[in-house]
Amino acid sequence: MSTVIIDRIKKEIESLNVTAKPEEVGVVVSVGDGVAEIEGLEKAQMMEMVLFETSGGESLETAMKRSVVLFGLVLNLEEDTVKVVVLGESSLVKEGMVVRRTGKLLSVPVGEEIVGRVVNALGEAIDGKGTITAKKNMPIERVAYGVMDRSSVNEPIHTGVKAIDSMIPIGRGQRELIIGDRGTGKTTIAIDTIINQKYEPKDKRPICIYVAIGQKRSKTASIMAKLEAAGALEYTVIVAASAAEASPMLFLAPFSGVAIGEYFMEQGKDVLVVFDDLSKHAVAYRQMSLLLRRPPGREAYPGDIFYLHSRLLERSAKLSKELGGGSITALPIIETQEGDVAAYIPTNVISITDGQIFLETDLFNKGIRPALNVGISVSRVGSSAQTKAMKKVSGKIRLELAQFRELEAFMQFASDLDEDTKKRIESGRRYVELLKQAQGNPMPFYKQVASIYGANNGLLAGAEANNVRLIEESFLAFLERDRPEILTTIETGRDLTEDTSGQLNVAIADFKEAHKQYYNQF
Amino acid sequence: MKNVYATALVENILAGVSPETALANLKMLLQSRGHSRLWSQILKTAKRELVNKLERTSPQVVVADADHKHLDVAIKEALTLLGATDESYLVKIDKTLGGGFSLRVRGQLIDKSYKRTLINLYEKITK
Repeated sequence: MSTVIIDRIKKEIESLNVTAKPEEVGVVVSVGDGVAEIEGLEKAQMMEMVLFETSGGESLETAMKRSVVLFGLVLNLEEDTVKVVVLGESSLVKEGMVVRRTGKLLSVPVGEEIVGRVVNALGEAIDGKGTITAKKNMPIERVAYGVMDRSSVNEPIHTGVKAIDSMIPIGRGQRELIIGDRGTGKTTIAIDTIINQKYEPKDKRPICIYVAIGQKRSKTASIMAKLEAAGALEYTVIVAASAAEASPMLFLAPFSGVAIGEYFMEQGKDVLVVFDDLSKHAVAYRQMSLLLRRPPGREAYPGDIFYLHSRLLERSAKLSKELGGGSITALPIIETQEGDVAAYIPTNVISITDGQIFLETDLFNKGIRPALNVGISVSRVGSSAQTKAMKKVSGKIRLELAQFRELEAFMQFASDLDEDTKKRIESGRRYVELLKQAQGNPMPFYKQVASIYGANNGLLAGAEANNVRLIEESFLAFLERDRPEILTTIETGRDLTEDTSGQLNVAIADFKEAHKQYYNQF
Repeated sequence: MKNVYATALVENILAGVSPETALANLKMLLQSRGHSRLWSQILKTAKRELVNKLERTSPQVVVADADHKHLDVAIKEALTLLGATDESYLVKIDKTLGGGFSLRVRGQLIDKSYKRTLINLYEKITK
């Protein structure tokens, strides 16, 4: 037997406290559907953890073999009883079972050790890489930082998606909703954003937390594999509450995710939290509330469904310099049914967040991917969350696309249009093609700037829309191979000086000269 | 329906009505309403409710062995700690405790059984 284990046992026995200490206990009166009603526990607090005495009536050997520590969470304080949701296997709970108060509110282990791991809603490792021995716990429920503790959002978080970074820029500390029907690419945008953070310098790279709520385990496993393959898992935490788990775990998962994020934020670091998705979170909360016999409201959701999401998302913040300047950026995801953004939960979350990215099935089916409707997507933070370089190039693309959208209706009359209108339509088509991007292929911001600058300054003039992506790819490869100093200058300086613009113009001319095969003369 | 009758019967008895009177009156009520078939089920439910209430309100000591005289002093000390010195207590035997005792007085518990101590030690070591 290892001496380490012997020494540990000896230490525990020596420090064992056998003096009598009264504990507050209650007795299970009824249990069903994951909810236990307990008589006693008069001084129990809301959201307090309680411990079920599962070893009652069992021999010591059996109790040690099973070794299950079963906790519950107090969620209803009633006149004579408390109602507790069981955080584990509720079949182990029996009528008459003794339940002890722990005196602690529900908390989750946090720390550097948790980065790169997959955990459940209670912070327990589920990736088979060993238990996590964290030195600190953070409470799952916490009051958000006040107004005076925050500073304005002025630093960008790059998603790697051209359409978003140019026209719907997201800042560190912002909440930007990703909303759309099933299969429109919401999770893809979130995962690409996480992968894109590998292009950030290590000291500026945000810790990413992906909260999977009610997802299939196979989907979570494939996301984990994708992140690992892209080298993104080393700075990512995955908090998983799968569809097979009880509704309390789905309810807790996003709060655990943001609690983990708060640990890093308070150290002055930036954090990105993705909640995938809050629609399933609302459904789980509804299920749990109905089982707790709370009165149902609209669509059977409990009356505090708005508060559920508002208190979660308010914990995203950009802290003031005095508090370290850290931030939590939230990307909540909402799944709509048949594009109905005026439904109950979507409208709730839209009113909470600082902007939304609309993904449409029609655009997806037309091959426009990411299927962003840039006309109705918005970021309320706006260009404060853009680098100077991106600000300089994004104005024209926004204008061109706005004009294109207006003229789209006339496209069926193409033969009857004047030359100027035809040119604008062709230009719009080229920009739409430029904004298309393959899944799992986030583009660092300096390449986006070079690409959009090129499009604004004649790189695509004379080219057919079908050739746009090929031209873009070739142009960027040309810059990387022959003019790497241009990309490096944009990357480090984050600005587009006159000098750099001049160099880019020369590069565009040289590229067009060398690649005449891509261009027709319109 | 039987639960409602059982609860009413138990509450009457606990309020001070003699059990014989309460039972006789209940029987007559059931006959007048045509619910006589529920009589045996009501008695079973009422018995369970009474036992539960008694267990919840009276101090309960659980020991491993019927011969627990050596624990009397410790039990009295624990009763004093929980403010129940003058109350009589129910004794239950649970061999799985191994030794020692546990005392529950309404919402408070003092557990000095060998089983609880060893389980706590085991959980600390294996955490």
